[in-house]
Formats: sequence, structure tokens, C-alpha cells
Amino acid sequence: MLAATRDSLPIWVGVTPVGLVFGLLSQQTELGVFGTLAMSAFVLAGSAQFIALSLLQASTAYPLIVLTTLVVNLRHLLYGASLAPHIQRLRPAWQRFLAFGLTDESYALTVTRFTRADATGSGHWYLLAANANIFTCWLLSTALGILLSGWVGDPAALRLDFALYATFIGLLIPHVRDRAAVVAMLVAGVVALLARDLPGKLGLLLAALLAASAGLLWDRLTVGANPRGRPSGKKETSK
Amino acid sequence: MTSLPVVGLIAAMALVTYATRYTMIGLLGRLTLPDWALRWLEFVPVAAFTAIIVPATLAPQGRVDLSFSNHYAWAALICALVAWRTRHTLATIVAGLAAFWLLRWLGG
Repeated sequence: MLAATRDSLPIWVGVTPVGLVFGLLSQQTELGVFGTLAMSAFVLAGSAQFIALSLLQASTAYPLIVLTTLVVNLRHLLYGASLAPHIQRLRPAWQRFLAFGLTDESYALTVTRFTRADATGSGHWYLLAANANIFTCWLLSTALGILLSGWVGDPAALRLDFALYATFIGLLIPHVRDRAAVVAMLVAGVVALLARDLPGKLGLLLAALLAASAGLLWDRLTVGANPRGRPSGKKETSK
Repeated sequence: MTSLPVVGLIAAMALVTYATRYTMIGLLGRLTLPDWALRWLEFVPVAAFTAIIVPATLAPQGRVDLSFSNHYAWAALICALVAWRTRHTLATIVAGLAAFWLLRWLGG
């Protein structure tokens, strides 16, 4: 438990400003204080929450926001699939509880750990502590952002909306690790730009679906030179 | 206070998000996603982020604007460069905001 908390420290530093900006920006939407805190506590997914904010600001229909949330969070399937073998022997209640806190960060912290900790069977405690650290940090920094929003005055005047895009860029770039990802990025950008007038931000979904498929296609077309392809399930080769 | 539709929105978002987290753990080893599906999923964050950033910064007013007065586009470019060089989310946010405010101050 202590080891996970120690390992989580850099994540506290990285997550806090993101939560702060989320809390700040959220007060320009209809979420209000309670809705914002509830979203951080129960959805607990930075990327999806930020995207929800920008969709709310564009007065997007709620069902489309939920659908976008689903698509954006589909990557959790990958984390779940990768962690499942390690927590398989736990009771279902335990598994359900651990699943709730599964995030990019706790996955990244835990996935390397599990292979080593498996021998002692303490890996799930590590995952629990990582989850708890990230949950606490995300909720506290969101609350702090809400508090600060009262001091900032008219947030629109500060153009904090750019902070949203800066955060996205900061989260996006580390994901771009190979040429296929660059292809996905290009397709996403072009389609999103062309489809930006579609109602209800449907252009975003269309662009994301087409771009992920383009990335995969590129991967398959160029994989001949490298027949073993890429190992699946593992992200982040080094940290 | 938070309105009922907003409560519903948050509940639905929480539900679909939890579903993405638990589904694979619940299915355990009974079902393995084919390799291509896992690979497809890996592209989703990149695709979604780009699909938001590009129109928002290149066409902030609705039409494509690549002139110097479009601070969003230039600050986003600086942001991307810093992100690429440092791979540091916080440094990226700080540099991007600094660039954006500087451009606004210069350009009025």
C-alpha cells in the first residue's frame, strides 16, 4: 500500500493541475458544484470528463455525450483485459470494486507491478492503493478548481478554454508512438475539420471511428515487414 | 442546484464508463478480443483528442482561420512542440497557456 502511494507521487503532480483546470472550466457549464464533484467521483475519467465539458459548452444533446463517453473510454476494455488474469482469483465483489478505480494512471502504475508481485499475491493491494490515490487526488483537485473559479472572475475573459486544448495536447502527444498513430492523427484532424458542421458534434465520433480504423489499416498494411506485429495489451514500454 | 437531467447525464456517463472498466474483467479469460480489435482500441484516445483539438484551434469561429490573429492555432502549435520535446503534460499546459496569453497580449 505504501509503495503504491510513493509511486503515485509523480501522478499527484501530473493529475492535480488537470483536475484543477477541470474544476475551473466546469463552472462555465450547467454541471454546477455538486454535478462537477459527482462527475469526478463517479465517472473518474479525465479525458471523457473534459470532452463532456466541451460538448456541454457546445450545447450537445445528452445522449450523444454519453455515447461519446463510451467511445472515449473504450480503451478501458484493453486495461481490463490485460489486468483480468491477475485478479481472476479474487472474489467477484473485490473485482468489481477494483474495476471502479481503473484509470490510465492506475493501469500504468500497476501493470508492470503485477508480474513481480504475483508471486506474493499482493498485487491487488497495490492496485487498490493506486486507485485510491488517484481517486483522492482527482476529487480534491476538482474541488480546488471549483473553489478557485470564484476568484478568477469571468473565466471567459481569461480564455481558459485554451487550457482545455493545451491539456488535450499534453495528453495526446505521449500516445503518438509510431507512424500508425500519426496516420490516425492526420485522419482524425482532416475528418473532424471537414465534418465540423455536423449536428451534435457527430463529426467528432465519425472522425474518431474513421481515424482509429485508418491507424489499424496502416498497421496491417505495413506489418508485412514485421510479421510478429505488435504485442497487444501492453502500452507504455518505458516510463 | 443540479437539475434532474444533469444528474441523469452523470449517472449514465458513470454507468457506461464503469461498463468499459468491468466488462473485460467480468468476462475474464472466457473471451479474448482478437488482436486487431485491441490494436484498434489503442488508437481511440489519439483519434478522439485530435478530433477535438484540430477544429477547435484551426477554426475557432467556425471557419478555418490560419492567419496570425488566430491565437488558438499558433499557441496549439507551440503546445504540440513542447509536448513532443518534453512529453510532460504539466509543462505542456503551462507553456501553452503562456504562449496563448503572450500572443493575445501582442496581437491585442
